[in-house]
Amino acid sequence: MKDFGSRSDVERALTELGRQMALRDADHIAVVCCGASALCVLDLLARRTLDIDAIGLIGSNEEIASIDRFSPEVNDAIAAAGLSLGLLPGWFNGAASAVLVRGLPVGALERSAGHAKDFGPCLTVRFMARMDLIALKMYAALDPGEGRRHVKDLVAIDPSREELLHGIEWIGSLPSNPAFKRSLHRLLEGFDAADLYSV
Amino acid sequence: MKSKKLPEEHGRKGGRARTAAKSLAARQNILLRWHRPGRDGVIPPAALIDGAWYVGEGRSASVAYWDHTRKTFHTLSANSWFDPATYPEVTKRTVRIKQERHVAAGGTFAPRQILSAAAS
Repeated sequence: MKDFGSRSDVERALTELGRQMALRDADHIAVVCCGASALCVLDLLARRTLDIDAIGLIGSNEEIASIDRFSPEVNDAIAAAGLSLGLLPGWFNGAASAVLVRGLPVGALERSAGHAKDFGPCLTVRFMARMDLIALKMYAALDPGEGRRHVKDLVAIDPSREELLHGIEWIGSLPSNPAFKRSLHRLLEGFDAADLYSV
Repeated sequence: MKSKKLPEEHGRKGGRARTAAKSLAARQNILLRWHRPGRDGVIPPAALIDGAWYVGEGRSASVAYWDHTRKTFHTLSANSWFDPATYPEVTKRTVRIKQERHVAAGGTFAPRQILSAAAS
């Protein structure tokens, strides 16, 4: 069973997905990807991952929409590409779409255009920019139950103060209670950046 | 008067009865003699039993199911959906089956002890 550990691994799988979509005459889709695969593509994280997380579909008016389900052609193409490359079922999924409930950092979609690539006539993939991936990781790290693993990723990424500040600006703009603010402050203390955010 | 020794004193915890758990433990012990754990105590991939659950350290969980065909651990991983306005109250929790590779293969799960076999 294959996994993804580098940009070439991810691009190889997406090229096969694009080919399978073209064979099925699927409609063109443009997706924004985040998670470990995006971190691999941007050379931010060394760990390997078994799936590619799509956060949303970009519409014709440059608005992002959550992925409830892919079309039957895309689902078939995902399964065929997975079978062809020895990937796990669901290797390309929209489970991260739920994050869109809180929105994305301002300008994230525009910045993702800088990491866009076409994989044939039916598939365009944009990877979120480093600063936005860090902001999403910071939010995930505040998960009261399951945040530990995201903190580990953040430590491995080693964000700069400017990148942490970008995350704070987004997370700080969300309506929040004092407990959440304290938790964000504690997270920043771990990165020696508590001075960037006052509770 | 000669006292009858308890099975535990002979190292037979649970008596002489043959159980699935004992058979599994015996299989694991044999495999571990051939493929010894590393200094860090991690059971190597060659000593893992297909369909068994292992306790260890993973990114998404500390217990995982070894799928030998796919050379992958399956874990149950939870994601909490929380509202910063009502933090730390969790409004929803989604549980997904996630996959992790063995640390020896560059993955994130380090199995240290067998837990049990899947029902067969």
